[in-house]
Amino acid sequence: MNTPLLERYLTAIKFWLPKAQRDDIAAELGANLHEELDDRAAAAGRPLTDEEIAGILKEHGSPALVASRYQHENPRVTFGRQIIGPLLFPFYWIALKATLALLLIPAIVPALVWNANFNPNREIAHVFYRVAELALPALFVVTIIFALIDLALRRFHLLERWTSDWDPRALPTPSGQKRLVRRSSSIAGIIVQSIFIIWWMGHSSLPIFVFNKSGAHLQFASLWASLHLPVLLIAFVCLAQHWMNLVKPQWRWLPPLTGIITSLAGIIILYPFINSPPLITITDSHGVALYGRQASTIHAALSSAVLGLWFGLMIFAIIYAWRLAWIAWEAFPHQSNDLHRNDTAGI
Amino acid sequence: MPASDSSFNTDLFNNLRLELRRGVLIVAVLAQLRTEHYGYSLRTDLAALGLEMDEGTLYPLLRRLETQGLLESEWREENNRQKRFYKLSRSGRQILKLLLAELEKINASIARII
Repeated sequence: MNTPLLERYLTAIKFWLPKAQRDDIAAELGANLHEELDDRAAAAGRPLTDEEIAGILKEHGSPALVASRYQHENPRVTFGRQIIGPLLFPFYWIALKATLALLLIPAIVPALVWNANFNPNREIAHVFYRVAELALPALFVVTIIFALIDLALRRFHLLERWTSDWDPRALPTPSGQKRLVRRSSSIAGIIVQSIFIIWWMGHSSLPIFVFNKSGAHLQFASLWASLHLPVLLIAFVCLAQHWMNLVKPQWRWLPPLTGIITSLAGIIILYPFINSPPLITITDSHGVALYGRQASTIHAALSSAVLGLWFGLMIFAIIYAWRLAWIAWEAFPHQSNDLHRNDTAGI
Repeated sequence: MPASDSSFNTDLFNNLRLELRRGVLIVAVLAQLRTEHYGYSLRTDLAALGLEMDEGTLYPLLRRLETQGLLESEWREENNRQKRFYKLSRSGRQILKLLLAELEKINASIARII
């Protein structure tokens, strides 16, 4: 006996399981659930309705909760007591690798590849120094973040609360679940946005470049300071989107919708920079303008970059709108086919 | 505040009951798997013998006991359906013997205490 609702349920469980055990656990669970449904149908003396099947699956638990019960085979981080449990460990591991790659590759590769006076001893020492300087604090910060999430999940039974009012009939079809927002993409987004937000918050003032010999100051116009808060808000919106897609991967419409909103916000924010007064000034220590020609060259370059970015954001907004429209268009025929399959399904 | 006291007592009782059952359930599962079973049949057999066990506890437990070497399993077709059958391994049998002896001692002690 086959039921599309059960297939949807098993596919949703597989999403939360580690790759190595995914098919094996789902096959075993599927066999047991099929037996249970057959038994119940035999006891009722008739095929079960979709509502009854949904009730049995609901009793069994939400996909995320069921998958979490199988995570005992995963490693965990312990330090006297458990710091990061087996449920979060796969996410933690991906986050750790992505963070280290993001930090270390740009820091180490240029030193090894583009250094004309390559000195193995010095470069190896440099790599160790960079690892100690970047990787250890990153390891510490990522571990603390995941330990806090794990503590909150266990202390306040968050997983059980979040998944208490789920409906098996609302699960996407197996083919729809193949197009879910990828877990790795959400985790990578969370890491990148978090690092950016921390960095951006630590740079609230505009940089001033001083030329040693002449004592001239290259200073950004005060207009740039107005970018700080809006960019921070956009980064938080993107961060929220990645977190929501981690919990609700079936919300495929969320990334393009966020893309449209943030691109439009970027277009509005950057508008004052087009045809604006000089975007930079070069002055002496008393504020008298210097190097007028060089300053106007830098201003022209910055204006072109801003204009390019502005048009780029417009193109992004159009691409995101197209993707959103495509997802909306796709949803209708799939939904009607699935409803038809459900109507004709029996136990 | 009687209402909160009562809810506290229920929570406490449930936690203590879970702790009490945890070890005993493993012994029951191991003992029942002296005969081969698949997950659902084991659950219904245990329930028929008066030991209700949530599938969310039982199915992952079977996999854990297998990882620990106490059970062995094989996929086999029965009634046109592939199922994973579990049975006690050699080391599982030795451990079960020791656990049953331990359980008997605990029961005897508890009987003397109460």
